[in-house]
Amino acid sequence: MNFGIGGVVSLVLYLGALLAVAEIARRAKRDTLPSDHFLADRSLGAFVLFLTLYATAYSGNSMLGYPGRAYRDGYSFIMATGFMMSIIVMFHVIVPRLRPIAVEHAFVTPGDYLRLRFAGPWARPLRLIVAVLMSLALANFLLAQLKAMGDVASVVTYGRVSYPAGVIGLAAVILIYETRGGMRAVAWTDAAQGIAMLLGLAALLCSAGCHPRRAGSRKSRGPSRNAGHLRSAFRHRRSVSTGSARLR
Amino acid sequence: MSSRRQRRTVHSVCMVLIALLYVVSVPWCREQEAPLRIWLGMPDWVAVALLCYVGVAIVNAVAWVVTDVPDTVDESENSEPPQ
Repeated sequence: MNFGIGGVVSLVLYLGALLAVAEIARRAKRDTLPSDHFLADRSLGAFVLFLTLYATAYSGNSMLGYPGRAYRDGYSFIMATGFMMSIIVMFHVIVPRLRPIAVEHAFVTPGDYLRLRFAGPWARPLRLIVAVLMSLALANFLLAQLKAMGDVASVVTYGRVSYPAGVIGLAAVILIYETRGGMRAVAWTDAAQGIAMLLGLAALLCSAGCHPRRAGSRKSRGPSRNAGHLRSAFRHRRSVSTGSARLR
Repeated sequence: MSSRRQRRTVHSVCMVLIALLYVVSVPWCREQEAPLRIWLGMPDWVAVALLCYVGVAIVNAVAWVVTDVPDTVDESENSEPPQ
């Protein structure tokens, strides 16, 4: 799918809107303390936080990477849904215990907790190791976002914006608004993007559901024919996976 | 106090339910050559997994509703019980 010049205009408008939201967020800054820049002075409401978490969790990897992986691996990739949800479930273990300590000691980064919890000569190397490990883990997500940004920019503009230009340009825009507006700009732009994603997914679902020849439609195919189609697809996948196993 | 205890009990029950739903979502007992059955337009084990994940989402939401996330450290929780 491509949108030609319309795609370029949409992309420019989208980036302009993001920068405008970030600028409003920058002007809403209350002071120059690190807690205001990195945590928006702990003033984000439930609605913005929900949309921020939504847009963070369901970003480039889940919009582009997961569908591609599901197409390649088949139904077994449904397990990824559970893995993603387990992140939110695991918050039950961490949040109720960490939140009061974080508020009381005004933590800004995870390193602040390590500084409080561990003392002695190994405290500093430990913080460095943890910081490196967290950066490595987050690098996977960052790489996925950069790749997704380049792909989207290239496809939406029908190649008028090349893949490298898309990666560099969009990364620069994100860097600009995150540096200027801090966490408040991130959260507000995430909220705007979260709403856009929710609307887009709802439109996609409606479009798939309203389509007269959708898969599984009793009117268009009937249950038996659909079941037969799934069975043949399942057999095909099994033969493909058996073949790949033999090759190994 | 009893309300707090009740909320903790509900929270614990929710956590156990979530663990059970995750266990059920994996088709442990399904044999590789088992015949394919279609539920809700998808293979039965996929439908079961999806329903389990929907259940996890609902139970998780309930668990967060009953979870107390205080802004101050509760000293009574950290103090050792009398021997």
